[in-house]
Amino acid sequence: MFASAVLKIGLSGLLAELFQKNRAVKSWAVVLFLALGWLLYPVVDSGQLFNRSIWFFTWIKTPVIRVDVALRTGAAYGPFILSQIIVLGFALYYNMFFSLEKLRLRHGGLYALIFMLMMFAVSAGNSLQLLITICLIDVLSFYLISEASVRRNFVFFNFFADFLLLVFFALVWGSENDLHFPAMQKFLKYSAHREFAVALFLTAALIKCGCVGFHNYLLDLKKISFVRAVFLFYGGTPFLGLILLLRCYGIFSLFPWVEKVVAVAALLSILWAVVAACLIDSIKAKILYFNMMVWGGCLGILLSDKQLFLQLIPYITAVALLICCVLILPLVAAANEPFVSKTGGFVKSMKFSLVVSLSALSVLVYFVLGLQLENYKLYACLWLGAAGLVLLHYLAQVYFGSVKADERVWAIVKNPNPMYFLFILAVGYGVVSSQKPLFSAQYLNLCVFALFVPILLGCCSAWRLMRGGDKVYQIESVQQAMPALKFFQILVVAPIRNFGRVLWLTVDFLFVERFLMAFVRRMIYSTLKVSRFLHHNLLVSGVVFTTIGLFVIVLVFYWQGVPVNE
Amino acid sequence: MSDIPYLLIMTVLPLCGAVMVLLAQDDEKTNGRNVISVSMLTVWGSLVFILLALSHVDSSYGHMQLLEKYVWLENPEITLTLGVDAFSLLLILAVNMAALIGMWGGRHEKGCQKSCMVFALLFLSLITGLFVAADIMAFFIFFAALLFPLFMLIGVFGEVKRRAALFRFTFYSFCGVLLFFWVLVILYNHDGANLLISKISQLTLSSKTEFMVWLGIFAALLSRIPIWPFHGWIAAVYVGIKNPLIFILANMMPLTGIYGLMRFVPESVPVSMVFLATGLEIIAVITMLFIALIALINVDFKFKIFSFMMVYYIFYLMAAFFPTSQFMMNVGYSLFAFMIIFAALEVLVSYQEDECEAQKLLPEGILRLMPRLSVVFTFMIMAGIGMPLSAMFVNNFVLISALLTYNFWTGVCAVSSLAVVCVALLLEIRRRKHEVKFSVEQVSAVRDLSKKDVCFMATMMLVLILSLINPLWFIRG
Repeated sequence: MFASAVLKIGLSGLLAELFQKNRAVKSWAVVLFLALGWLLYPVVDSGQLFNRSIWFFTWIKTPVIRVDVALRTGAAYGPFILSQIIVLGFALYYNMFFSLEKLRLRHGGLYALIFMLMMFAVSAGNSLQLLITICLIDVLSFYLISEASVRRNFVFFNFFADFLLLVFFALVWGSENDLHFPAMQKFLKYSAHREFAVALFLTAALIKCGCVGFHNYLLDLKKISFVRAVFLFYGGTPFLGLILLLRCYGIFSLFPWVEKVVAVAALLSILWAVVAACLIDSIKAKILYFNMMVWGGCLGILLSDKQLFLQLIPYITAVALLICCVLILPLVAAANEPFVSKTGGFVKSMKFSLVVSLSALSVLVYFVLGLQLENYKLYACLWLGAAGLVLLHYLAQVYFGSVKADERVWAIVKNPNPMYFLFILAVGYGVVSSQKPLFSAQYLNLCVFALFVPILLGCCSAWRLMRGGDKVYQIESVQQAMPALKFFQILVVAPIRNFGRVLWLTVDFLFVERFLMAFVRRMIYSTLKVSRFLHHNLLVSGVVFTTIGLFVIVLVFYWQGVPVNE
Repeated sequence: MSDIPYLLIMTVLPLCGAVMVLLAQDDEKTNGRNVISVSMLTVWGSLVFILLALSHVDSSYGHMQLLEKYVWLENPEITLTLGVDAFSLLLILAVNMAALIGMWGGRHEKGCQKSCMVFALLFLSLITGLFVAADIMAFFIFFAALLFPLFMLIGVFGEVKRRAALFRFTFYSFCGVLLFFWVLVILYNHDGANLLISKISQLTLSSKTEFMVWLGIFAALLSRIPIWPFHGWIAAVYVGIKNPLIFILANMMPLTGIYGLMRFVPESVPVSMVFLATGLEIIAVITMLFIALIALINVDFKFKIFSFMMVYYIFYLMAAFFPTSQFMMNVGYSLFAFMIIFAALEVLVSYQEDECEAQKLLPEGILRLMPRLSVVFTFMIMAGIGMPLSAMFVNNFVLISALLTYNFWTGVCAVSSLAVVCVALLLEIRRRKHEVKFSVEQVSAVRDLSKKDVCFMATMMLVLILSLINPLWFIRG
């Protein structure tokens, strides 16, 4: 039933992409959303996602390689599937009415196709199925992104990561002749090239997760619309990075340095995201940096306890989407005003939005403080503090900061369409009401937060340092800076290009063209010259050719011997 | 032996098509349409016979099948044997499909349409003959004869500016023919009869003779492949060709060398060949790295396509030296998809360049004005760089894995070259989609792909996707 639902969603997506174009876009969006509900609600409601089942077929069967493709449900897969259903629901829901997205870019079909592929990625029992779905998701994500400059970085980073993964899995398969993930353990224990292979894998996984240093292609998503950007974050490449790390979890126990590297990457990502979120003016960039913080936190939970991570991933996804949806409210209300520095004082027209935003924040606090992370409670609180700082800083500036919006924006700013709040309230309620079996009842946390938040908010809005931070918004070099990208340009791309130029100049041009080919040309020219001379000068040519003929006769006799007549 | 001489028909059909093209009406009224129609129908006919032959071939059976013997000379007695396996049929299919794409793309090219098509069909006939040749004499005949239509196509219709490079290239290829002839004479004298290619490795030869034979075979077949240090001026010839059909056909020449090496090189390498194989491996890696790095810095997209072809050709060539022939079918499937992708890319780039020339535009940003072409172009580039959109993906995975197992550092160098050349192609997408301001007149004057062109390219895209989903659908076994 699950498999048929997934395939039907994929088929609906394909039909939508082929036939939608610019015709009845909103109707297609509604149809797709309803189709999602109709197909997946029975599956979710009956608890099938957590019951063990498998649907598979043999795709390739040759003497050299056999590849099976499977769709699975069960305790190890259900949480991932559920989180992706939430992400797809978010995207298809917002596709129906998100006024800031152009009609021709409302690719409901692509969302559905990516979801279908993601189900295959989650269910992958062998490396080739995982690799193919990763690559196909990258291709579809490429088509989902409309901006050329965003596509450029996206495709280069992901192509590089996919290539590294291809080489890693090719090494494993070549050594063990087995595509299944357990075969990797033997390879990682005994292969001569295991360190090299692990380095490739780790680089690919960190690129996919969008960790600091490789995060620019994800941050570029601020140039596309909110719905697509957030979908790609939670339903695209970074999610695949987590799946990769989960499928190859054995690497952490066999190579302790890998765990340290991932931990450092996660921590640096969170720190970088906190600082950047406070300094960057763009609202969408702040949302993406918040997502980067969430992903850093996910990596931390994954490292500490794999089973807990599996249980938490749907909740993490839901809460993160919730926060993203409240953060975008001012941008929607202000008719796509993208910069925080052009907002301020929105509390006058958007009280309801503020209340909803604070409620969403309280759900976040409720969720984090309620987690049963005995050994890592401190880290969770620190993360919460950092997230709270970023979010409250943003809310303080937008709602309570001095009015900097222009007249046009100020005239139209008001609470957005009620449809925006429906999703927020539904998800918020869902998270709070479903937590009870998993988390300890921490209603006290909610009350404490209810008192604490307004005080903190007031402090934030009055804090001079925060106001001083507004001056950073005017510094163009800080706003446009992409130090990680510059790092790659200078230390990776430029040396390869210059090496190519040096090779072409020294070897191809100087050695091959000017020396080797010129030598051959001179030899041919000299031979022709001698030949012409010989053929013009009768005496000399006669002597030379006669001598050559005699020489050949002597050589033949020497080789074969003189024939003896018997 | 088969009842219906599929192989003879496949070889002779393009030749008959060439004769039909000569007889076809070609005047101002028809404007070359007759010529193109006859040529394309010929190729379609060949494709039908190839698919029929594939349905009779067992891919699990490693030896030559559908054998056909024809007496050529009675005194001395020389019988030519034709035979195929699934691998060679895949190559023939790929070559014919690439030619079809080239004909479709070049159908609007002006000037000497008829004679160009005659030589193109002649080339197609001879290259098919090369792939079906099962003995050394037949192989040599087609190997040598290929030079003639190639020289005519490039020299007369290719509009190559560097004529000296063209003569050098032809002379270099002809030296390869002479070397092969030398080997043929040695083997014929040794055995007294025409030898099947598969029997050459079983001959008992003196060490000197064995060395000369294998050196000759290596050198002759390598003369078709632009290996270092000859890659520069071979590139100058190929890259200078404007006509997309001729560019595609000319770039099939290295395939003959690779095919020859895969056929002639035995699984158990003779002692005399060991150092040759090692030397070839080193040169192959150097060539791949060179060409890939130069492609990265070169802005000419034709050069990038040429580099892309050469890097992949040499990658497939390395597969010839694996200790087992079990990967031959993987090479075949990958080459099949590869040839279609390469031909489609060349046709699309040619189209863009013609539009840029006609409207006096730069190629930067041109894809923004051609949305249909942009979709097809992006798909082909994605498929070409190894995304799972064609049979190249799985089969390249298998070949990369085998290469890394066979020799780790050679594999790393080869994979790095592949990555670099793929980046060079990706850079082109970026360049051609870069935002540039065009005037309203320029925007309205640029012609996108017509619906017919889109349907044709969509068919090719479908073939590529089908080859990923089920690469064995047209092969028995």
